[in-house]
Amino acid sequence: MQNRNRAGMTYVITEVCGESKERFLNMCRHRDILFWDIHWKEDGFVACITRTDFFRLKDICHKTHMRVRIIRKVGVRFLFFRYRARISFVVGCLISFIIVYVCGLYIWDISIEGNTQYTAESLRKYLASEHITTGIPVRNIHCDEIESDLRNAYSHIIWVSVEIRGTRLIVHLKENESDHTQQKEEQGNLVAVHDGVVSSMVTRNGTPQVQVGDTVEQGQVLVSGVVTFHNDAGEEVGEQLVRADADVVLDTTMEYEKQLPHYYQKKGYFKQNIHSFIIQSGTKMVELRLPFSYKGKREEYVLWEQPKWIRLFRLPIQIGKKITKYYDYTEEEYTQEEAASILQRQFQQDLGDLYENGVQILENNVRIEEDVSCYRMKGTMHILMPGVQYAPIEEYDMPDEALTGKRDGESEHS
Amino acid sequence: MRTKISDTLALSKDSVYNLPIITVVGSCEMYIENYQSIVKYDKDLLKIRVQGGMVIIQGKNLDIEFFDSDEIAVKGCIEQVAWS
Repeated sequence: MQNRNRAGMTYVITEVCGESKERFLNMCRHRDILFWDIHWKEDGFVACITRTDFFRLKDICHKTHMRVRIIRKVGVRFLFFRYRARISFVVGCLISFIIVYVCGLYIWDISIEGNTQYTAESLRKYLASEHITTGIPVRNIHCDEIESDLRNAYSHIIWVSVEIRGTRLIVHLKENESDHTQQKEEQGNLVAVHDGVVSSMVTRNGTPQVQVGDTVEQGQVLVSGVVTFHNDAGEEVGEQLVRADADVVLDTTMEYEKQLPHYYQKKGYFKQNIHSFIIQSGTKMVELRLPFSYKGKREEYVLWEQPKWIRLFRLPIQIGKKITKYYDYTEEEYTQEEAASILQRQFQQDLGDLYENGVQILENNVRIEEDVSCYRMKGTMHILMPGVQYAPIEEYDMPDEALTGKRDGESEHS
Repeated sequence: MRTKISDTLALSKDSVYNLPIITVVGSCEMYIENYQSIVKYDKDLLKIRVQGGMVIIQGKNLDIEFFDSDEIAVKGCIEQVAWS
């Protein structure tokens, strides 16, 4: 039996009309002109025939007085012929496919993930020094070599993995964070940050210089970083410099003042925004926009669009949408309600910052006033605040006989 | 002479006498090998000349699936096959 594979075959569906269809079919058979899918019709039949056989029917049609009409053409050849006027579209598709394929052979993005201590820029610079840059062919990249090079070059990198995903080179790394978190111990005092009265004091390290209830001034040493050692007789036998550590709360008053002028410059945006497209390749950028000659003040936003399907396939070209908003300033005057609202909002923000820093407000005498030039929020607040800051010991003359450690003091005592 | 040779060599009759081989698949398909010509093709009737007679196929919606120099395939609702 005949095995006919019609996939990809070029053929025509014809309608054959006339009286002597049997004679027509027998003549076709004798000349090896083959029909298939022959469906009976009132005055003939409908059948499929190859394109080459169709052109051989002319003589038979003439002899048998049959008429052959093409109903439909099937096949790629006819498709190309039908769309021959759009050949440029097909060529364009082909060229774009080739471009995408060729671009896919190169690395267009180097991503570094998991770095905390080393910046991505420094790692990229190192990779560039090893000739691993964007635009390098994928076949020239040896992930194992890059991994070992990175481990050798950066001592804090304890694990690194390099992978190629699409046109991206992704470097995953882990750093040793233990050294990073160590804090250097320095010697120093704790000094008052504000004038006030010491409300409470808990000293963990160092020598307290004041007591609860003492009045202190800004910059005064509250806890000294010099620790003196005494022997059993109460004699001073040595000193050691330490980093003073204590919680000191000061009872103090704080002046508060914020001003708001009567007039302000109000920013008014134009109704129409200008939209344009940006194509960026490397450091070069081209903007596609309609000509617009206004040269006023403007804000520009660029939205870099990255479709989902392109995440793995980075190209050296980036497309973005630029929105330009034009604006101008006009002078406006605050009403009393607006000014009060703005000043209150600022005051609440400042109070929030104080609360975050551990400040307790005992009494609040801040009021809004208006004078000729501005609105003013002014007053005093009675507060309890953490009142110390660290100050390094810059110059300290250690006595010659003074010992710099407890062990030395103990040895003298013995 | 042909009969003697075919009987002696045990050859099949269809190759020696060019006799038709008719294969019927259910009542929907039919294949005739070694046919000579199509005598009549109608919606309900198909007459095919073969060596030594004619095969008459009666049925409904009879279509010729394909044909070539040796074989013809008929498709449709075959009701009766007669030899004349």
